Amino acid sequence: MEEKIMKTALKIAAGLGAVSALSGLASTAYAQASASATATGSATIVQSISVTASSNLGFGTLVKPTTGTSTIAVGATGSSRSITGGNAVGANGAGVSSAAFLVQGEGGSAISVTVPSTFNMTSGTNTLVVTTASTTTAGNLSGSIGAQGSFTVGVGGSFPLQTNTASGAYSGNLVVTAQYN
Amino acid sequence: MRSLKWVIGASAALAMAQSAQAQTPSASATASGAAVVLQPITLVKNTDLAFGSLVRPSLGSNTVTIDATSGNRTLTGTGDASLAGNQTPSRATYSVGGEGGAAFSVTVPSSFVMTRQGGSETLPVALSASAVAGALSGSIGSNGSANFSVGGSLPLSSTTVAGDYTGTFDVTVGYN
Repeated sequence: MEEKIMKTALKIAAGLGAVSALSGLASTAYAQASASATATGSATIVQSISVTASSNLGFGTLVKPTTGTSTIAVGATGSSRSITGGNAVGANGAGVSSAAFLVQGEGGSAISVTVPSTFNMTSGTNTLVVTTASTTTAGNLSGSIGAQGSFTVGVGGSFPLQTNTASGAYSGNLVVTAQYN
Repeated sequence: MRSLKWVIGASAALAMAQSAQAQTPSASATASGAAVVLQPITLVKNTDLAFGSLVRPSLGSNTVTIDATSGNRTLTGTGDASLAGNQTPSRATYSVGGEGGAAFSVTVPSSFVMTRQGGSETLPVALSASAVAGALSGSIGSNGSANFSVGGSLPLSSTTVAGDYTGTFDVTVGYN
């Protein structure tokens, strides 16, 4: 079935090509008996681009401050957490991780990744707004055309924790998009 | 005619390339973000550890123990010490407050020293806790509470200097 469609497409293309060629000839026909010109055709065919979340962004367990505002931050790579301001403390390091997204597609292709500047984590009706921080979001997939290449983007984030932040288990979705340039 | 073939080839190739990209011009993936926020954990001491009044042995040695779970005072050993009833013995009791459902652990020193008031003689006290870990009542999003207690034991001998002995020890709780 695909072959038939392809053949049809080729025929249509051939027809269009013929028209183009004829009109090209028509414009020069008046000056000379005949003339020919060669155009170069080129196309770059690339495999589909895909993105996979290989790890999730986790801030772990935190004890909210009794005074001041603490900023809880997880770096764009690795699993380090920092707490600045206020007197919040991390209960332990379990569950602390940066998110990682693996982009795969045609080797050597230039791609760009879109990471939202913020996303929400909710617990019931309560919301924590996470400001994201990511590694480089534009570059070339590894390798060269003809083979699959990859590119990894790490995403961390930070959010404020206050004395009146409602306690609870917060979670949310971080959606990242990649595309060929 | 040769150039026409080139044009045909090029047109077909371009059409294919465009359709291939149209199917997946971009792709997305979703990672989750998660954080668990807990209210601060608190610890209140309700009752001190008290061994009460003790009569030292004239011979041999004894151990006086306050049970962490029951608070009962018992006397063991080969000596002839005795327990006096003019002071009420008690175990140390604590209340933990914090996030409902949260697991916590208790840190109690293995021993501490009591010193005779007005003197320098000491009595070592070995400590034991009714629990070294627990979970606060309720579930996350609400206040939870838990209780535990600490008992201890001390040695008595015929050479133990009579007097009032006191000391302090610190107990800590933390979320797991």
